[in-house]
Amino acid sequence: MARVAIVGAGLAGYTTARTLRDTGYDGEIVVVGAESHRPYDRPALSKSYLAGEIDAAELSLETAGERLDVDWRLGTPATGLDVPGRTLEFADGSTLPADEIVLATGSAPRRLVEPAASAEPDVPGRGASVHVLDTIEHADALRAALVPGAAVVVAGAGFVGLEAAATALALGAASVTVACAGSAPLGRFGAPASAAVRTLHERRGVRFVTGARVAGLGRGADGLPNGVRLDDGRRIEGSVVIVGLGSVPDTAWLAGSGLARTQHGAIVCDEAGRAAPGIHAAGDCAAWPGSYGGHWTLAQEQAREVARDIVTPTIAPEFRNPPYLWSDQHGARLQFAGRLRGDERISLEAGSLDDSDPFLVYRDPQGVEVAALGIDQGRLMTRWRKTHRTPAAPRAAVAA
Amino acid sequence: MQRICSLSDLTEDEGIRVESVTPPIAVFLTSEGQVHAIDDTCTHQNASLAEGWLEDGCIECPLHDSRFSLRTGAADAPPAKLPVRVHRVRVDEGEVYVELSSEAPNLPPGVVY
Ligand SMILES: Cc1cc2nc3c(=O)[nH]c(=O)nc-3n(C[C@H](O)[C@H](O)[C@H](O)COP(=O)(O)OP(=O)(O)OC[C@H]3O[C@@H](n4cnc5c(N)ncnc54)[C@H](O)[C@@H]3O)c2cc1C
Ligand code: FES
Repeated sequence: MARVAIVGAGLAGYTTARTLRDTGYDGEIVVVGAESHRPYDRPALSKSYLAGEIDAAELSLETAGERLDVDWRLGTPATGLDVPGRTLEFADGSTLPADEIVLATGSAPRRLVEPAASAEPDVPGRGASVHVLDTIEHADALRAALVPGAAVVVAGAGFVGLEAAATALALGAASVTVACAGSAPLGRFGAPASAAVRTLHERRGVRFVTGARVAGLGRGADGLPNGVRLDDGRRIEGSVVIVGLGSVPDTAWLAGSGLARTQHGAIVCDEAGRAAPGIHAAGDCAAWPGSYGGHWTLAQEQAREVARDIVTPTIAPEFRNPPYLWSDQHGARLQFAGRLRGDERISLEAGSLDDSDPFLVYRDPQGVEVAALGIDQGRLMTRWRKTHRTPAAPRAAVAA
Repeated sequence: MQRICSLSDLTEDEGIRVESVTPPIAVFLTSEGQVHAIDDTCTHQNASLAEGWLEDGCIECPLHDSRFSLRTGAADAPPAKLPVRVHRVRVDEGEVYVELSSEAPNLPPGVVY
C-alpha cells in the first residue's frame, strides 16, 4: 500500500494530511511530530491565547469528529532523511520508508543567547525572565511572567514582537518598550504603514526605542539578566524580555541529506513544492519560487498544493493568490498582500493614517499595483487580493 | 418570516450586514440572482462575513480565508471549525424576508450580542 510520510505536525503538516483525504487519497498517512501535541494553531499564541481569552483546546486545528485516519507519531522528531531512499531516520536508529515524503517542519525562533535554550532562564527570582514565542509551552511561560506591573522589553519590532507587546499591555504591564532595529516598526512596508502602526501602539502606551540593534541580554551588577543590551552600548531594562527577532526554517536536521537549502536554511522547491523526486516541502521550512515564507496563509496554500500534487501531479492550480499576511495588534486588524521591492509609490486610498485605519496601495515605477496594506479594512483588502490573483505557471512534468 | 431589506439594497456578488436582528446577519446576492442569509460573524474571530469574497456559492472570510457554504453554513478548513447558521430567505415583490434559524449561533470566543 502507498504511504505518505509527513514531517511536522503543524499547520502545513495537518493541512497536507487533511487535503490528501479530501482529494480521495486512501493510502497510509504517517505524521511525525517533534512536539507531543496534536496539530495546533500558532497565531493565537501571541494574541488571544497569551491574553487568556481562549484555552489550549481552542488552539487545535482538528475539527471535532474529524476522521483523517492518520498514524500520528508525536514527540519523535525526525533526525535525518535519505533522499534517494525516501526514508526518514530517527534518533533511536529506527527508519520510516515512504513513497512520498512531505517536509513541513516550520521554523524556529531566533534566540538572543546561543546556543543553548537553557541560557534563557525563566526562573522567578533569578533576574528578568527571557522568552521566545513559538510553542504552547513558550506562551504559557510568558503568560505566567506577565504579571500586572511587569516591565516588559520586546527585542525586535516584527509581527510577533508587536503582537506580544500589545497583549502584554492588555495584561497590565506597567511598561512595554520595543527595541526596533530601524527607524520605525515594520519599516519594510514603507513610511505611511510604519507610522500608522507606530501611532496605534504609542496611543496605547507602548514605547519604541529606534535604531536599536539588540546585541544580547543586559545584566546587572549581580550578573543576572535585567533587560537587553544594544550594539551601541545602550541598555533597556525590564523584568520580562520577549525576544521577537524573527525565525529561521527548522531544517538543521536535513544538513546531511543533500537537499538544496537557501542561505536561511529553507528547502529549495519548484513551483509545485517538489524538492527532489518523491520529496516535497510546504510552509515555513520551504522556499517556493517567488514566495516569502513565514506566514499562515502561504503555509496552508502550499500544503494544499503539495497534497494535490501527490494525488494528481499533472494538474496545476488555475491561479495563485498574492502572498498574504495578517496580524492583530491592540484589536486592530492589519493585512498585507503582494510583493514589495522597496521602490514602490504608496498612496492612501481609503481611511486615514491618524485614525490607524489606512488602506494603502503600492505601485511599482511602471504604475502597476503590486501590493496593498490595510488596517481594519477587511472588505477593501479582500477585494484587492481577489482581483490581483495571477494565472499559475503550467506544471512541469514529474521527475521520475 | 421578517422583512430584512429590499432587493435593491443588495449588490451582485456582495454582502450587507444587517444589525436589526441579533446576532447580526449577512445577506448576499449571487450573480445567479439568488439571495442568501447567514450569521454575519465568522465562527473563528470577530470578522464580518459580509465583507468577504463571494465565489462558487461560498463566502470567504475577509480575515483568514475560511470559506463558508452559503447553502449549508459549513466551514471548509481552518482556522474556522464551526459552521455559521443559515437562515431561510424568501424574496417577494422586491422585498427580502428571512426566517432566522432556531439553532444556537456559533459565535467566536469573546463575542457576545
Ligand atoms: C506567536 C506566533 C504568532 C503568529 N501570528 C501570525 C499571524 O498573525 N499571521 C500569520 O500570517 N502568521 C502568523 N504566524 C506564523 C504562522 O503561525 C506560521 O507561518 C505557520 O505556523 C507555519 O506553519 P508550518 O506548518 O510551516 O510550521 P509550524 O506551525 O511551525 O509547524 C511545524 C511543526 O514541525 C515540528 N518539527 C520541527 N522539526 C521537526 C522534525 N525534525 N521532526 C518532526 N517534527 C518537527 C515543529 O515542532 C512544529 O510542530 C505566527 C507564528 C507565531 C509563532
Ligand atoms: S475570522 Fe474568519 S477565518 Fe478567522
